[in-house]
Amino acid sequence: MRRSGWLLGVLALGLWVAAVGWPIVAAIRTKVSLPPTDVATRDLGELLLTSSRWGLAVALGAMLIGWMPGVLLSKAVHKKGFLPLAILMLAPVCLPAYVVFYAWWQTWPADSTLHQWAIAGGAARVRLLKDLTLFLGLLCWSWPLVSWCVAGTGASASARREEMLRLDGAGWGVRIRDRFRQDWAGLAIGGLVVFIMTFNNTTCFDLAEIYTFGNELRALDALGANSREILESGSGAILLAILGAGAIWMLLGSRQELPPLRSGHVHLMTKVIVATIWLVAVALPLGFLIRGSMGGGFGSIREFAAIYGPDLVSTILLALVSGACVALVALGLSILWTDSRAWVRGAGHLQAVGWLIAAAVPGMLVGVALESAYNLTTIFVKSGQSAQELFGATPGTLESTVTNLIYLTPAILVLGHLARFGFVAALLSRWMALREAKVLKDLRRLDGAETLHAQLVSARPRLLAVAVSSLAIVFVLALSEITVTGQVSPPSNRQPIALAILNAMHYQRPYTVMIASLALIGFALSAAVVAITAWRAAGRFTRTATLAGIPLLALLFIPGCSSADADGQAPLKTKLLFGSAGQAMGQFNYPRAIAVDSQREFVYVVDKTARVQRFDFQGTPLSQWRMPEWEMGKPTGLNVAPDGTIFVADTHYFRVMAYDAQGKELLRFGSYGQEPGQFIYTTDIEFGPDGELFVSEYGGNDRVQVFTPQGEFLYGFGSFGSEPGQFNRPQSLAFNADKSELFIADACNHRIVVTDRKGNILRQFGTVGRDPGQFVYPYDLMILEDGSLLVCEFGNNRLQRVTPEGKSLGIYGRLGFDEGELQYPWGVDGTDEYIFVVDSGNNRVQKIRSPM
Amino acid sequence: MVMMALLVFAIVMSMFVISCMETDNRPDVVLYVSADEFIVRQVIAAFEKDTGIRVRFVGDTEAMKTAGLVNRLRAEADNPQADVFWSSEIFMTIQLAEEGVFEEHVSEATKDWPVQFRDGKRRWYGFAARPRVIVYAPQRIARQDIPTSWMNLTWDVFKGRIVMADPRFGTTGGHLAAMKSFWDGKYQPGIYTAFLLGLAENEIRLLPGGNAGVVRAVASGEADIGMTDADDVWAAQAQGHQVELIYPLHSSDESEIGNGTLLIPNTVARVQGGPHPERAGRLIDFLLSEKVERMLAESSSHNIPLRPSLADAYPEYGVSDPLRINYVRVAHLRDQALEEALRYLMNESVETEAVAPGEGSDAP
Repeated sequence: MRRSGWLLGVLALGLWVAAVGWPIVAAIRTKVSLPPTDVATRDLGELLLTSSRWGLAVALGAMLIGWMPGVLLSKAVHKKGFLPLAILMLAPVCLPAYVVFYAWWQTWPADSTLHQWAIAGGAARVRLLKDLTLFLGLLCWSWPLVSWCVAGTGASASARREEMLRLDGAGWGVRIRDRFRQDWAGLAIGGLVVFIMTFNNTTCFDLAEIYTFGNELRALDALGANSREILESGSGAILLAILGAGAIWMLLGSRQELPPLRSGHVHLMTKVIVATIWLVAVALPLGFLIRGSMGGGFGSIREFAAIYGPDLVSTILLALVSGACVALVALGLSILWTDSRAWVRGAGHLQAVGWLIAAAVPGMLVGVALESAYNLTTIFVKSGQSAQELFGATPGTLESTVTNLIYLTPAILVLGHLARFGFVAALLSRWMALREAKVLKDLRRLDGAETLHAQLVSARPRLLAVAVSSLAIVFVLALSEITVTGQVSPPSNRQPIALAILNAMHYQRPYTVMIASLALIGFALSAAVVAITAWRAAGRFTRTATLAGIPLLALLFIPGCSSADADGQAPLKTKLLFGSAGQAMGQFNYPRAIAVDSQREFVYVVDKTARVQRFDFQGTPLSQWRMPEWEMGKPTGLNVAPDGTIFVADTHYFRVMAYDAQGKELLRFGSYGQEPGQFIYTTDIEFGPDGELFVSEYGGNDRVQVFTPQGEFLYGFGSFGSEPGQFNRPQSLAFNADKSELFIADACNHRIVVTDRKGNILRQFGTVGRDPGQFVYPYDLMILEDGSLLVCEFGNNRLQRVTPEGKSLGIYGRLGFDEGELQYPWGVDGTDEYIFVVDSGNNRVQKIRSPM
Repeated sequence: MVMMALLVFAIVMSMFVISCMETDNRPDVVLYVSADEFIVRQVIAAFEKDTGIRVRFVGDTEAMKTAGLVNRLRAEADNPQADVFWSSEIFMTIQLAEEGVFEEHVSEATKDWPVQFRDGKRRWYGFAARPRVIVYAPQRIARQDIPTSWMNLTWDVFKGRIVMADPRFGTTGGHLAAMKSFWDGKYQPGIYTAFLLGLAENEIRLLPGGNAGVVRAVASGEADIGMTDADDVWAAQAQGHQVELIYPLHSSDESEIGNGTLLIPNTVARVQGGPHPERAGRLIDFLLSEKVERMLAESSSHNIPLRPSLADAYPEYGVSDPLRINYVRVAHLRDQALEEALRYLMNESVETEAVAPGEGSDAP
């Protein structure tokens, strides 16, 4: 075949028809005859404005921030440092935008200073803070898109021109205006791309609780509106998409041949500004994610790998397939644009604009169209046609083949990714076609290189760069695509990891979000390395493929890593385990406090059934009783007085209760309030030298109050906060042996505070962290025989022994489910010989020898 | 050509690997499920271990809660792909049943199922319920203002401080329909409208992020009080957020029996014409087993078992006085209640004077 070059072009067209063309036709054909569903909507005009405002604000911000890095990038393209620079500039795009927003959002958790400041200003200030956080997140994610567009499309200025302007004494204003004239096309393309992506983003706005146009379209679909209604409702967005796609194409294709990329001197100040932008916009949120994922310890990583490891592998494979398909499209378009016939090149332009429009419309519309196209029975019945009429095939065979393809394989997800990200092929192939020297094009034509083989050979470096870059970029984007994925996922025993991330955000499992995100960024950055290396040196294909292969292989072993003793901490040397999940005597439902009566050898444990259970030291249950009320909440503190009386901090009933060993009530005192003698949430009771009761509480009036043994108020100290003398959830109290020093586990300040009996601060120690001497939510403490403290750390899943001055003497236990491992322990108490740990998450108590 | 070959090879190999991962030799069953995916995975693993049947499932995102899958089931009604639908709510299941999407399932496991939690024609069964509650920020709601009844949300003191999930999704719409059914049916027509007007006057904010979004808004200080599901509050508490929940009554008369907490059961149904009917039956029986209700009760969602034998097994999560309603009647009212609610609550400015019945709020 003399002109076989068209084969790839037709293949690209075929993919376009499958992913975009046919779904659009099907969507219109199948449901257009349905009666209106009269689904209620919000004011779509207003939502269109809201989405546009957000899109515009983020686009302008991204243009402002991304411009200078783009200039730097374009100047560095022929220099040695380009590869690392380019990878750094791709890093934020490797993460889903909602994860970048989430990372920023986690910087002001409940009770942080910023949060407290916002709360003090009321709901409006909190709302403003959240909006600003969203803006920051979207900005941090999107500015590199502008940078890349500036780097790729502008670049006409020679270093000499800039130098001459400087020598002429042109001021900053003149030079910036001059540079803007050169870069405006790149800035405009970048701005348009950011506008469209922000406009169509639904997930970030969902999390930020902001109604947008995209959310409402999705609502319409979910509520059963037919496609006519959805298309009508989405017409504003479709119009915007067409205009945006057309504008991008005109801006990109306005020059016959782009000049070579600029090079030249980069001012030091430019480097400093770009480095600052990168640190603030990328390193900071990435650091938040890493810190957050470490907070759960390696146990969380292990748990994640065990549960989501296979899902992650299949997500990556799927993303690779999508990337490869888009690479084929890129090759096809590249070939079309080298054709000597105008109509063939025109067909390439039309197809490319089609991909751009498909990418620019809200993703939900793509999902609706795909659903309509590949739900065959529905189509044929609703349109009144048979498959035979449409395809000339036997309906049963065709239907079952296509249905099996759609429902038993992830083919529909690949089509969805193609529709969403085919624009990458259009942009890259066009950009490279424009960059090809005219003399090369002429030579190829003169040589008659019109067979597919000849074209592939003659343009090999350019085509390879386009194909590999398309593959890598789409691989990155497909990993975290969620709009279409959530809509058209076929039944499978493995779910796309993006859905798991989104659900983990909604169900408040931050560790899952962070670990999954870091896994994604690891693989996405690998892809970035491949793309950029290919761009720079298309000949080194083998090397880059190897580079990409290494992390892939590593990933395959993630589930295998789960058995590794990852965090290096030793488990407890458990002597005895007792308790299991359940309601029966001897079983627990999330036990949260423990007290040991060393004289009588009893262990008391209270759990979230509000039962206080009494055990002997061998773990044999002896008796149990239930608190008088429990609907509002359960106790979180227990202590045994020297005479054997059990005191219970009945946390959610704002009081202290006392019982004898058989559960007979002896005393109760306390009422709700912030006045002296009143409580909000009581947490623990400790006994003073003369039998006084020291009671800690939280809930806004975080303090310690002292009462007579009969419950009459004496005095109190402390208030809510993080300054010295203030507490944030004082969860546990313990006096030293001579009752001269009171140790207070200031849990949410992650420290231990030491006071005298009157509440005068003697010292405090501990900061948040995992190192020795640091704490994460110290929920309980006890004094050992030698005066050292044993601190139970809920957040670090361990016990830590420290001197009374805070120097770490040892760390015991690690996160896990096996014997000797802990999961969110709440309490610790014991005798000189044995220690009992409430292993709350595992619904059991572990008995160990005293570390003394 | 080498490059082309490589690309085609990559595609074919990847598809092959993925296909291999999808099709092991075990028989399979297809489940559409809108419950929390994290818990669903554990239940599926238990089922697969017990029966050797592989479960292929499609989940739903929290924000779309159930509505996405319901729409998908409708779209596939002529070409069913799912065998079993496990919904985290009940009202949309009833609607689907009446549209003919589900078929009857009777077995030894279901024959004695409590009548109030199953369809008359046995097309769906309810299990493992979660209560509808009010979530509030204890540091910002004075103790004397803590509501005891849903009507209390119309008190002036809550003006500008209330949030609720977009009622078009998830359980909120069903709850509003239950209110309409209970109040307008038991007392007098117009009370539901009055309640909506009261909420509108209190400038209640609807959130697109579902019930979890309501709890997040209260925890973060965007709002002080909201309507939500109990499991979302427990999840927030487990994360250390200072939020509390209460089980409000549906009337202000505490002595009246049956006006307490609305329970939203999970529901399970067999899809009409699904590809694997026998395995679907086994999966349904498994989901309705004591084992699964225990798993769900002991999970972080703490669902309340509905099978009589477990009625007293988890008293700490139990509801002493469930709201007595007819779920089918509520499902029939859902669209009407929703339309009314959206009319008053959805847009920022509400024309309160345009609607007469009820005459304002039920202030204390």
